[in-house]
Amino acid sequence: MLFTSLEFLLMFLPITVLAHTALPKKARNPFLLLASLFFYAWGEPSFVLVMMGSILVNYLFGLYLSARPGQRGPLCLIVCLNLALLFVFKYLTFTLRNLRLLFPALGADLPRLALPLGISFFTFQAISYQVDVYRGGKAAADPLEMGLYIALFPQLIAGPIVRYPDIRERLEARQITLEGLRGGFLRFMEGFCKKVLLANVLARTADAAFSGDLGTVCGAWLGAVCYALQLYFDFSGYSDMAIGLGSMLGFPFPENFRTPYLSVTLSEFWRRWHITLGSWFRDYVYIPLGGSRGGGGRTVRNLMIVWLLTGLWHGAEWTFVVWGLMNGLLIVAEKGLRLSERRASLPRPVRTLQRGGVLLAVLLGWVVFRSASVGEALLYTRRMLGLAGEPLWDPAFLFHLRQAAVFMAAGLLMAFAVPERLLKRLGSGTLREGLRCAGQVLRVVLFLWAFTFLVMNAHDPFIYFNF
Amino acid sequence: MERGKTTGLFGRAAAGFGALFILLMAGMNAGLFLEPVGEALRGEISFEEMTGKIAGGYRSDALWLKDAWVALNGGAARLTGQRLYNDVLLLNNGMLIYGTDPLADTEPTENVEQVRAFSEALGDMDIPYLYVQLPMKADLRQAVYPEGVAYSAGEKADRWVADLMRAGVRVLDLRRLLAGTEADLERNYYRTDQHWNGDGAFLAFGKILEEARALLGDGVDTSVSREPLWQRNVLDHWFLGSFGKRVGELYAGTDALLWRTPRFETEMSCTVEKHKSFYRGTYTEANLREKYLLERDYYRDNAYCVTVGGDYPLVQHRNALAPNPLRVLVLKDSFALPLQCYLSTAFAQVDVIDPRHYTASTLLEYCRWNHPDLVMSVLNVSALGDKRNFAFGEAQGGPETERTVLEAGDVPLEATESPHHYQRLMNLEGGKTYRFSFGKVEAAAGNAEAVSVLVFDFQRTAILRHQIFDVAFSNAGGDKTWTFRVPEGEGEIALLVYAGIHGSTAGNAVIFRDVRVSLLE
Repeated sequence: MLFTSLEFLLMFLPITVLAHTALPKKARNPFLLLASLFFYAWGEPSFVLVMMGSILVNYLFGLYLSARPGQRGPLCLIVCLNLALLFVFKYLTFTLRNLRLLFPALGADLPRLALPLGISFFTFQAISYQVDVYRGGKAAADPLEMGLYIALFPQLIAGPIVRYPDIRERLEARQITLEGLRGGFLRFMEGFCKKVLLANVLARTADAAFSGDLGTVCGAWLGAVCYALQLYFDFSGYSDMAIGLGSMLGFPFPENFRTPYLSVTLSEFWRRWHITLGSWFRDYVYIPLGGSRGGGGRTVRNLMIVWLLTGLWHGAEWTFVVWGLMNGLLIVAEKGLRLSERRASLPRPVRTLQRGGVLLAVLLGWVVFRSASVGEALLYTRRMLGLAGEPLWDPAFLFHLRQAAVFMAAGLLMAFAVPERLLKRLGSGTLREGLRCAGQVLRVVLFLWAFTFLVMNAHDPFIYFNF
Repeated sequence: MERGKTTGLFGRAAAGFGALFILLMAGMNAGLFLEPVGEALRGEISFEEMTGKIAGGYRSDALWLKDAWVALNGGAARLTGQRLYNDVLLLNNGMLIYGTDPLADTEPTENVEQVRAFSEALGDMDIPYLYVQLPMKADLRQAVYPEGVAYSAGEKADRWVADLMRAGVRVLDLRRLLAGTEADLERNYYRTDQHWNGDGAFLAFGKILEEARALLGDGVDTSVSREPLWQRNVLDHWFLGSFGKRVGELYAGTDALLWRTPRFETEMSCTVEKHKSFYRGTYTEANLREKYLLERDYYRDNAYCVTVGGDYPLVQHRNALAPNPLRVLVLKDSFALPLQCYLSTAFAQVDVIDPRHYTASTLLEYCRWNHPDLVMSVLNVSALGDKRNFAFGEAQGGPETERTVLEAGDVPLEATESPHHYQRLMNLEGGKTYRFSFGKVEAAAGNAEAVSVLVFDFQRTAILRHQIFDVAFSNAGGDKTWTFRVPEGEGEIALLVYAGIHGSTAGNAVIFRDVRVSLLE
């Protein structure tokens, strides 16, 4: 079930929030777990068993590790089991496909395994849980608590990745406050609008560009920018909705995005984009490998490992591997040139260029990320740079630009936090308060508009009928 | 917007309004999930069926105020400059068209040989064939397309028509007449639908009659298509076409429904074989479906179907006051709906087949069995990509001999209260072709304006073939034969005659005179 579906908005959300709020405290966790399993089973009834199996095994291992702190063997085993689950569903086909290229004798049919929704997220949560327990943290009191930690529906499908210590106390006892409900719902509305009004609409132009309908230099840039915005609003919108839902249920989820396109270095960008994933890799891969202790060579190695894994985490395709390694190399170069430390001493035009460079690097990275293959990514990039022999622009580009203009403008303003920065500049006063109030009215109008999109997306009358 | 903070009163109001809205919509649509959940809890459906039903319910027309949401969304799309929306393209003149070129992946000229062969086969039967090419909206008018949108339909249709003519097929190309200028488009086509309106069809009617006269002689009275003889009827803001339904009425407005009715005396019938429907009376009573004129429903009704009611495999028009005894077969797409009614005033019999749906025989067989005086294909450009329109088929084997297998003489059916009162004539064999004929039908009691003749499979309790005869028309010299092929297969299959239309025989007593069945081999 998607957050941006009518059945979620009009059925699951009101029933779950109302019931959760109205139920006595002791009944909330069982109810929420049932609701979360229902949520997951909606689209994947058979995979609920996979998840429940994962919950049970991780709970038992957590108990064992908690009773025997410092035992590496069991930790390695449960981490491997979690990774094995992820490997089988997400990477097995990819691995076999590539092995077949190397060893054609491996002529077996490739298994066609559907990918359980959210497996990347709940597997990483399970691993972080085990490591935290191993390091002396408290284990889940009972399978119900463990189940709720893993399966809690707001963050189950697309994060943010939540650490067990961050919500343990809330799992045991939490308050539902009016402020939490109000604030959470506002946050949900905001994310909903980002996803439906910006991400989904800009996706049309991005899809047209990446499918070859915009075969010009400007068309390629338009597609790349639209995709960069689409990806940001899709992911951050979903995170907003998850955080808002968590707030309504009494759980404070961590922020996952902090205006990443305002970053001045690539390292900063990745500290502002999908924050919980970045911090997960930092805490559970980079630092255990040694981090930046141990000299330049080791640091480079550790960074490249992290970025290789980050790429792979996003998908089982070579494009994600290339994308990950690209970012790794650029960050290594950035650290080597000490761009972050030297930034303050650089003249303003150079700082502006540096910021532009970051945006360009991110944009070109997204092209690789979006493309169906490395070859297509190269072709698209060449088109952007005017090296594919295509014209600068054509009427089709102008048509798509007009189609996307309003949404792209809104997206750029929001991605670069222009409204917030303008408000800050206004200081306090009537105008500022008036604009903030107008912003709330706008939020409601946009929410209603986004709702009509949900209806429209499900509206598919037979183009002509009556037979 | 401040991240998640309720900014005083307005923030609280925004959250409250949003929450109230969700609760209101949830409450008004509660039935969409309560019913499937109830069924699942009672064990009547599985979990997956339940989720499917719930999701389907929210996507259905049962969603509260769905039409309003669609309209609002379309209006906002228009305001934000969306020229291509929900697979609909807004032309520069405000008209709507397909979002993607319907001929993008096809080359119609691949079907030229089929049409040529069909024309030749008809020629061997001394049946003239006319191919009528209608324009899709705007396929000639590149100027009305927004810049940057390419449509190849017009050029492909040009090549198609040229190739047909080179192949020796008689072609009436009405594209430039109907859609040559922007004014033509706006006069002859609906803004929000892919179809032409009653005016466009009327223009084509006149031109087709002229061609028919050239082919069939003076028996075709072209004066019946003179404007003064027809009344132009308009219902403003009545129709939201197929494209309009996809984007809502605030995107490009609505259309006035436009149709014409004759001012001269008429007495005709219209039979829709699929629904076993029979309409008899004046032109309006026989051909117009009143429900589309009494109540307006933008999203659930297709008012374009006010004439005839829709696209059916076979529709038969009979005209008791026709200026000639001619029988015309029209092979068509949905554009023919208004046109076939106009044509029914000019010919005694107009049989209309939609090749996309007709399966009772091949088209060539139908021609061989019924020997119409003229066969015409009437297709718009967007239909050229559908190969079913050019599957004329073979006349399987062809009847070498016709052998009488039943001479039943008079077949009386007494009046009963049953709505399905029939007489079983004989058993039939699967795969064989038969011809049923009669001399006359007399109504002894009741009001059987029409009678059904069925091929019925008693083993599967299924109607395999069905023909309705207009009693008055047949008795006055109209068609009294029906040739049909029984589908292949075993079963207890029989030929039945009814005391009226199947399902409406109560109180009718009829006598079929001089009934005969022959086997075609």
